[in-house]
Amino acid sequence: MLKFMLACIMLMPLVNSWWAVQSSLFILTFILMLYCHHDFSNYMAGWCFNIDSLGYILILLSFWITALVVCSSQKVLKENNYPSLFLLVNIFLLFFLIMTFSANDYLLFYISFESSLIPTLILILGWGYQPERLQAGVYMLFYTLFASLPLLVSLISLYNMSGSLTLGLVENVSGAGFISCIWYVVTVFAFIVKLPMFLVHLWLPKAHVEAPVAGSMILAGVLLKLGGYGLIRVLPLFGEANKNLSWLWVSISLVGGVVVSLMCLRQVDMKALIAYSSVAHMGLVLSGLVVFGWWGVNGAVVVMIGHGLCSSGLFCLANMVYERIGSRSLLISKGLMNFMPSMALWWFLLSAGNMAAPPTLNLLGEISLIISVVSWSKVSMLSISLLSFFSAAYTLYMFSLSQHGKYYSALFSCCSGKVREYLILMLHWLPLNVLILKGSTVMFIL
Amino acid sequence: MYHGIISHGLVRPCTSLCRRIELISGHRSPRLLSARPTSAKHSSPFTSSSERKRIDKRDGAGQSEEGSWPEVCDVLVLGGGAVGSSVAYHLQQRARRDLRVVVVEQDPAYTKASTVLSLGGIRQQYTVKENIQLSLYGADFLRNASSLLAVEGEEPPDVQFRPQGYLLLAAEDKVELLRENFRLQVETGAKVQLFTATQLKAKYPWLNVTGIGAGVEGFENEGRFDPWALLSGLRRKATSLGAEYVRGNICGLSKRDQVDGAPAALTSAEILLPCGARRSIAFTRVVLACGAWSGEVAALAGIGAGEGVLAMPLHIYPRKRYVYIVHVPGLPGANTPIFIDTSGTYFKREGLNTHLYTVGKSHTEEQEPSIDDLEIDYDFFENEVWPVLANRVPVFENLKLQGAWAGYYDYHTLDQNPIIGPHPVYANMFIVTGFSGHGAQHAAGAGLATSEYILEGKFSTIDLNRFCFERVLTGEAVREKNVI
Repeated sequence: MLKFMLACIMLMPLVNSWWAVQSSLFILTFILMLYCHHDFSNYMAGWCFNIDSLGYILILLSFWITALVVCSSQKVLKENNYPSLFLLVNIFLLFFLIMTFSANDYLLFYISFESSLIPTLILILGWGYQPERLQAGVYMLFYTLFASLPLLVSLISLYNMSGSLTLGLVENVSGAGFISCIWYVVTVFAFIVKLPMFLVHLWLPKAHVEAPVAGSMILAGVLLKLGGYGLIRVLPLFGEANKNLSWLWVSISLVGGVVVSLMCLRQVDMKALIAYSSVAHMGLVLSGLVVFGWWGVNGAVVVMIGHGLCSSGLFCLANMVYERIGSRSLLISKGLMNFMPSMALWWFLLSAGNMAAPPTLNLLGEISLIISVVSWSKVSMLSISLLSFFSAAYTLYMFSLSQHGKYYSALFSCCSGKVREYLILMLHWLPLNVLILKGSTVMFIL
Repeated sequence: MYHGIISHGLVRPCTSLCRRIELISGHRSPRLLSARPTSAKHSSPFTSSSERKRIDKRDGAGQSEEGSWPEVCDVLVLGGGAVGSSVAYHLQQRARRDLRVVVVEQDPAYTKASTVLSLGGIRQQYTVKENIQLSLYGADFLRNASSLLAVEGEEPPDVQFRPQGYLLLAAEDKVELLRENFRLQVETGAKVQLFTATQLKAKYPWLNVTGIGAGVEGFENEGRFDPWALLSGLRRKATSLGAEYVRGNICGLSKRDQVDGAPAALTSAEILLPCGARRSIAFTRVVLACGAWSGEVAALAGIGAGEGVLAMPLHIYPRKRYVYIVHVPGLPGANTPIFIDTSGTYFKREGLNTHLYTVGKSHTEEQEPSIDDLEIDYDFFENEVWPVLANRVPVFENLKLQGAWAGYYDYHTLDQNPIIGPHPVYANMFIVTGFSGHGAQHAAGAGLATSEYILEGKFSTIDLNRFCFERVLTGEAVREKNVI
């Protein structure tokens, strides 16, 4: 795995040339794709890095999204808004993400998990648009930091108990006694906030809305998955405690998902709508994960990948509207099908992905998650049905309000989409809809 | 203060004529300062905390604090007079917190604004259908202003709408034209009545009807109101709904040419603050409602200094108009209509038993006074206004001039009717100005139309497509057949 990290580090001196970094990122992604036929469960093993299938698919997603981020942030280059610094920050972020997903040691995982916040904060503060981004950055930073400091304590306690923090060599925390449950909550809380779960989700709409397109895409595409990935790594250590306390996370996230979906129907800012829909999707992911059945964990991974592609694509679309019209408000930028009919195709395809319509990865994942959560408790059928219904409702609301209807007739023409933009959206959509044909790339990976 | 003393210069100790009258006549009105918010801070438990904070934060001028400069907004309204505030009110009313509206006003005391210097009359007797509809909406708005503009926790505003019909006279050879106009007005829904000369003489014995063929008088939807109360009511309500008022002068409008997929548009405004600093506000839409100074502000965007369509400037200029206050005993009180003579000279009754009248007349092109200041020309009164009035209403021979003031019309030189519509090149600029004397009465309707256009893309309630900017380019003037 070090070869990809070295390649990443070696990209840093090249930041003065946008095209060098852009093409190198795509090339690196394709080279990484060569490893998709993994024969062993852990491969590319080194001293502190190795990959298993879960890490592989998420590293691939990180590279992919970063390449698309650089592609869609052309405005930074055109307006000469510190492009080399921008690329440097993105490459740092990618580097930390690779380190997180391939870490073989819990402490290394923790350090890179925290380090990935800093380039994100710099992105939001440096290239965001509105003065509110200060508050958004503070919210994001402090929510995540506050929740993950107890995780550090927990990791050190695990080290004390087991003598090692290497993945796989840490002893399980036995039983469901009081200390075990506290230990469990302390450990998973960081990931709950990162995912995010409903009650601690407040940082997400702020950060997503105030971030520039690069920040939003990376946040929605990969950074939220850090929470899911961390949970998958950590939950096996807490078997009994998890069985006793998982009801808490399932209830909050499912009910919260329904509440947040209802809030989506009231949003006027496009990016806020997509941000809240991320919370709803991740609520379902969290429920499936903590149930910790085969279906659940696999479904969670599939939804994470699918949602990463889909939300990132939707943020890209919202940004394209913003670049042309200057406002993200659905009250002003509506009737877009009249101006940009070809972009309406991408709006439709990615919205269909968001509501888990076939044949997208989201459908595969959501069905698996529904199976796992309903098998755990039939009562959850109520909230899951409402969640699925409302996810369709608000997605259709967003699509219809932005595309259909009468446009502000003063805007006579608008570029319907440049080739670069179609490329970005195609690269978002293609894996989303095609990977379901070989679901084993993303599923059954554990 | 004036008690029978003719004083030169700008005599405006208070902002509303009603208050002036009360000070002269000595009795106090129960609501002397209706414009200022009271100190009652009771707010219902259902007021959201941000709205409560906003209500508490507001002072009389409603200025935003230094630390919270709105760098980005959705709609920027240039000009905070009646029209600008009405646009802000209607937009925020439709969109609440979902739309960010910022209003730039150069003078929170409105010393030179046409709104507060206007007489505050509303009439429906126009000959252009759209103007009639705007007036009808305006009258309805004024009747309901107390409830529409009420802000939680404060006294509802009182625009002091005093219904009184307007009487327009026509000379004998213009009677057919008057009848046509009358038919149009009745069709559109105006409540007016046609009188012949003999009927007029019977109804108003003090009128000298020689040379008069007929007259039209309105019996509903017309009257007087307090434009300052309307303005401050609109401003307060808009602010409570989320609009931000910023004090400053607009010194630049930057634009983005048609490039790379995006249409030509104005992108941001540079504001010169009273402390000397310059700040900018980026916007998605901009509404030009600067009244008499609209031509100057439009020139900042390059309108009038480019090629093709941009070579056509905005032909809206400030024109000074005088209003004189006279004391004339001998006319009946409440039964005196707001009277407009064939020459355009008018008089309006002030108060019920005060015997005070405001009189005035529009200038012809040659007589236009200079706009450098608001000094008053009393010779114009002596030579042009008094003789006409004395001829038409003999009692006016013995008037005593009490005082006068001057204000600006936002005069549209093409046809004295407003331009309401987007600019053809900078499509995100919506122009709503040039009312040429009807701004205060049409402010409510124009604000509604602007908000509909911005949020829906078309006019829904009143079809104002004839007032578009394009008519300036094609020369299709929309003229009134009698103009005051």
